[in-house]
Amino acid sequence: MHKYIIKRLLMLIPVLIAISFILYAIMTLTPGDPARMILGDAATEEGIAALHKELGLDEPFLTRYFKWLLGVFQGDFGTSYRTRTPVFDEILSRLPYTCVVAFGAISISAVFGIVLGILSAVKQYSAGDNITLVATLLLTSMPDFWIGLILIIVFSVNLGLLPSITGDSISSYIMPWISASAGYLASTIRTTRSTMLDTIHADYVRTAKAKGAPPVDIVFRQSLRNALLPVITLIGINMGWQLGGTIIIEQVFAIPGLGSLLLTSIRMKDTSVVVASVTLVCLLASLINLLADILYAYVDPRVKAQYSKG
Amino acid sequence: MENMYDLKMNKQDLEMIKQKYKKKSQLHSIWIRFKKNKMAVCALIIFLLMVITAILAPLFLNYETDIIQQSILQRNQAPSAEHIFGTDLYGRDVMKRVLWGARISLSVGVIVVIVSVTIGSIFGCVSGYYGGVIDDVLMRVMDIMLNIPATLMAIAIVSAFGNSIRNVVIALSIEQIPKMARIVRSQIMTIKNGEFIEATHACGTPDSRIIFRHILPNALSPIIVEATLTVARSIISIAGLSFIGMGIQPPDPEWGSMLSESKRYLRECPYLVIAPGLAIVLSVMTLTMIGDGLRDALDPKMKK
Repeated sequence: MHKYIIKRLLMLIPVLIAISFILYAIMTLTPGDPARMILGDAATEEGIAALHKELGLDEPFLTRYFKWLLGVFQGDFGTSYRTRTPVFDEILSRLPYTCVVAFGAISISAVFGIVLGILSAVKQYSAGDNITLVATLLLTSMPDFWIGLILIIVFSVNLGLLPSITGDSISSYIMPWISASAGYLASTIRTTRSTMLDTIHADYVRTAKAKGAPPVDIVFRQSLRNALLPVITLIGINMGWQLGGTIIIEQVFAIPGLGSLLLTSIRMKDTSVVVASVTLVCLLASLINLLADILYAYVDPRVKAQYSKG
Repeated sequence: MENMYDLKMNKQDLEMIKQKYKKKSQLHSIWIRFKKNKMAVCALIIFLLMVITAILAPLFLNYETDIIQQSILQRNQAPSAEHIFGTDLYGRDVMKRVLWGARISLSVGVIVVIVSVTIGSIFGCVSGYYGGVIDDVLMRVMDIMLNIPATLMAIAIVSAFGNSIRNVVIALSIEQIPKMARIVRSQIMTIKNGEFIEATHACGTPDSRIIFRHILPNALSPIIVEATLTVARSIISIAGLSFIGMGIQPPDPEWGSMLSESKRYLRECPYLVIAPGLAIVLSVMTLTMIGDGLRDALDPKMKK
């Protein structure tokens, strides 16, 4: 198992380097000059040349990239062209907002998704089950930002209950959480329901029933542990996507998170901020996926046995 | 004489047999199974109506005067008999713009699917059929692409190469190719070990013919289902990109960019949010239902 984890972590390094190289190339080799953006339309050629020299933009692309990469290995993620502050500080000041939205939304979708999924599997074909299925169809079809807009209209504009702009109070996060979790909630319900149905109809569960095990025991001890495996993977994948996906929700609720930093930086051609923040999101997403896989092995002895063999 | 008669009967029989078996073609039996799912059929009808409206829109709407022409006198009108969903902040009828928007969203969705299915299938076929080093390299590249959250990737591409429908299509296709390649690859890997493929090898059939004539048709059903769902996903993605200003630009009436315009006027005219959002929900929901119906209809286990 340890061997496997180390192997996965080592494999991550070339992947992250490749991602950062592709992004660096896209940001640098396409039209648009950061110096011109900073100085505006009134800039003189001399001014631009001077700023190029100051920011290190007069060097060739590959030199710039490898200098940046070398810095990363020493813990220096470069300096923002726009604000002239270290990229690391910039990201660190924005990351908490994104994490609160992403982890909050995922927790909501995981808790409610698993509970509703179990209920609708246990009461298959009941009215509640049908309503849940229609609801999941609706939830997957609604774009998260549209749900956000509707929530703002209802709860901020008409009822005046919740603030439409996200600040530091917890109540201001309620709407972002709900709108960001909708799609993931639907997929969690669907997966939990179908895997629960598979295990409920499995032979060993029927045996347990025949031996007179109480229903609670059958659902929670016999079925759930097996049914949860694919759900764990799904939640891991969702969490990774959510970190990148909050970018649109951040625009709806004016959240000063990583997404809005990224959008401004992309518009200003602030290469090191863009590359560093996207690579960081990818790293977090991969680590979470790895964590899900480890958890998977922890829950399922069969999987664990497989890893320790290989 | 009797002989002649016999021959005639045989010909008629043959025609009848031909007719009988022609009717029971693969496509026909899939349709029969699809028809059993009433929800999916309803969804298909609604979706086809949307497609027809989108195609015929230029016949009853004029792009210059109905869609982008601004009339300040009519701005921000609440829904009425004349303007069912009201008018936006430039005095344009929201209903007409949403109808025109279907042309953009649906065509982008379909083009994205064509591009990503074609390229994804090629990658998946090569990777699954040949295996070995090619497979390792291709799948590693796909892994890298899957590792970048899709929205970020699309934003990076669109912002780097400029805002245009073509670049949005490229960005969304790149997002979908790895998923498609993985699905095709896993299908190919199960099919290529079948005995009938071994037989084609024994006959000396060239690889390209084995892949396109013998393997790919067998792998088609998951590809078709995934393609339907990909159109749905692309419609949401393009709306999201346009919403943050990284997709279709105003004055083109894309649903996401219409929502983005209405965002600033939530207090004054909340009705602007309704129509574009409903259009997205309706198209995505019908496509998802069609996809689910197709999945059941194409599943050989459901054959009876």
